[in-house]
Amino acid sequence: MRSENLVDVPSAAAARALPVPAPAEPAALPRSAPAGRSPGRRLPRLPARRVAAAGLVLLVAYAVLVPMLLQVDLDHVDYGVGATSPSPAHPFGTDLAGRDLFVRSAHGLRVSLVAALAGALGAVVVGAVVGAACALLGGRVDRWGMRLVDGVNAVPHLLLGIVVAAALRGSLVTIVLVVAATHWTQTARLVRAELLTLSGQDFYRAAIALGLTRRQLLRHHAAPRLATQLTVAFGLLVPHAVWHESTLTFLGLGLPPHQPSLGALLDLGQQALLSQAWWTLAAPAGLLVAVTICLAGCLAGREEGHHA
Amino acid sequence: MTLISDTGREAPVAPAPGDGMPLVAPAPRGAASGRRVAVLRLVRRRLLWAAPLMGVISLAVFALAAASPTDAAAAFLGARDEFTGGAARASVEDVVTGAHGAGAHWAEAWWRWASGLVSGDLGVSTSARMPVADVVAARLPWTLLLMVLGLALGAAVAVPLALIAARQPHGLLARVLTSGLWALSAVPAFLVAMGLMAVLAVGLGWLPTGGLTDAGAAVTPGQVGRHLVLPVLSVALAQLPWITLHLHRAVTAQLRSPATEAARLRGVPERQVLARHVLPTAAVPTLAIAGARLPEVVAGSVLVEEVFSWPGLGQSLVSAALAQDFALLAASTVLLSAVAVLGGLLADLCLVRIDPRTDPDAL
Repeated sequence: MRSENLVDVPSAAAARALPVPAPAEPAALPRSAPAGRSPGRRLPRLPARRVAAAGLVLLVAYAVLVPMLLQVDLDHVDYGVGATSPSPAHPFGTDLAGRDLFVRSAHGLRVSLVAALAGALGAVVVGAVVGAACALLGGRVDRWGMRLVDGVNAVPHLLLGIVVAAALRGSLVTIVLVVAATHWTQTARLVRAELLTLSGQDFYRAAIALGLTRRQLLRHHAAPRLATQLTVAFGLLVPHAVWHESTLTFLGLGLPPHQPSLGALLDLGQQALLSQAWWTLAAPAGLLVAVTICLAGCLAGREEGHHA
Repeated sequence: MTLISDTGREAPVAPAPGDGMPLVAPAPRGAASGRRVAVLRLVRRRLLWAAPLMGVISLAVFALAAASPTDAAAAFLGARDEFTGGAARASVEDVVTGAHGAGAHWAEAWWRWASGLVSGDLGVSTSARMPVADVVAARLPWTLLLMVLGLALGAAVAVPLALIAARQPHGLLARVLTSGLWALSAVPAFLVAMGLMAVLAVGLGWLPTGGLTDAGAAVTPGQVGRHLVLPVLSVALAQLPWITLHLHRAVTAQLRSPATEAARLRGVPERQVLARHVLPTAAVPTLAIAGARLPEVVAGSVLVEEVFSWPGLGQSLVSAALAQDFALLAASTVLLSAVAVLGGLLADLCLVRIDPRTDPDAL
């Protein structure tokens, strides 16, 4: 890197992947009490990562179990109980058409999570392939590959998503495709950088000199290091992919409205907002924020250690 | 960074920056003009890179339009589709697909669009039912106004917040502030916008829920100002967390630096230490990141425009996408990407201006 003041590439990439990089996360503040400060003055600290992990488990359990246990007809419309505020019978209230939001939100979260996981996985796979091709083949492939990465990065991701979604209208596959097509660049850079660093290191050169085969080199030296990197990259992408899915659906370009994803519920919620039915917005919005915070919180510590 | 390599006809005059060259090396006398040349070279290089990028983006839009399985004529007619028969429908198809070349290969259609672009003819928007150039001319200024005001407000609020938090990095206030901002950063821009709308417009009724002016009212500064408050606030709130948190970290590091200590020991007043020694240095990494984050500002304002029915380019982008209006979609995608790329260049130019150690040739 040319200057310590300029952000190095991987952390700039991370800054994109996650709305805000780890330093902001409470757990990322200095772990030991700073010298010269009495420990008594410090507030007891919640183990943020554990709370986040527990929250995530709860959210996933809600998304998986509720639709399984409560076999409610999702599209059962009953205007008689339309737009009732939260009550024991309907913990999250009902929407304007009288559909129970507790079950619908669980369905929505489930769909959004599946879309996000698949999209993030696709992005990581594409990124790993491009990054590895750039690093291993070098030369012209490397130059053009990195030019492509810069090009995709220069365009706002949402814009690309809107264009792709406009052409290949609304389905789970489209969403997965959009997320993968717009988010592979960070992983590509990460993998390329990691492989280039590795090839410059003494032990790796020694391994080559010892006559290890390509396969052995890959298996014993490259794969373990890449695996850690890719896991973190995947984890960082998931909350972003949740955001992407809900945004595109919210704009009317993602999943069809009858499939209750978080974005579709939020879209309905916005319409209901003007008729003062705030809870129709509150339930999916709360879930969306909770799931992003929990996912990011689980990874925050790792991500920081990774970039330190 | 692997940007386009400089073709550099006059490059040999300046020392080529090798990777091993330390940036902190004192510049030789007379380097000021060399630096200016380098900055111009940076601008030229970026613009030369932006032009083909925009070409590729528009090409991609046309390719996707051709690949799209949906029927543009049906999208144009909407509910009237089933009542429009025979000859009438054929003429509609002619008009709609004519915008991107009926039957022609998409590359051919793109070529026609691109050559029209040179003469200022961007085709006709089927969703707005007027020339694309008119749509853009009417909407781009509102988008730019929203983005610039939002970003400026976000940055203006971020500086004092970051300073307050950095004064006592482990204090209660700093921790509440940083965790609050961290949580805010996890809230998508459109939720922030809807939250503001729910509280300030629907709940309290202080501000209008959307639009450029009240229905039927003339476009006066007062009207627009009132309608601008919530969108600008939304953009600012969406950008506030990362500006503050990056700045906070940089300020915290800078406050402990030997240079700051030395300034304090020399008896420089604290206010001046902050203004002259801490903030300019701390702004450098934040600015470096700002360039990379600008596409997100653009994306954020697209969402905010959609939520508040703000008549900007972002809103027309979304409606063009929904209506399969590829002429308008291509134009707004290219323009919004251009805004992001030029904004990034502007951020880098600020960086060069503020930090003498940055090498324009390396950006």
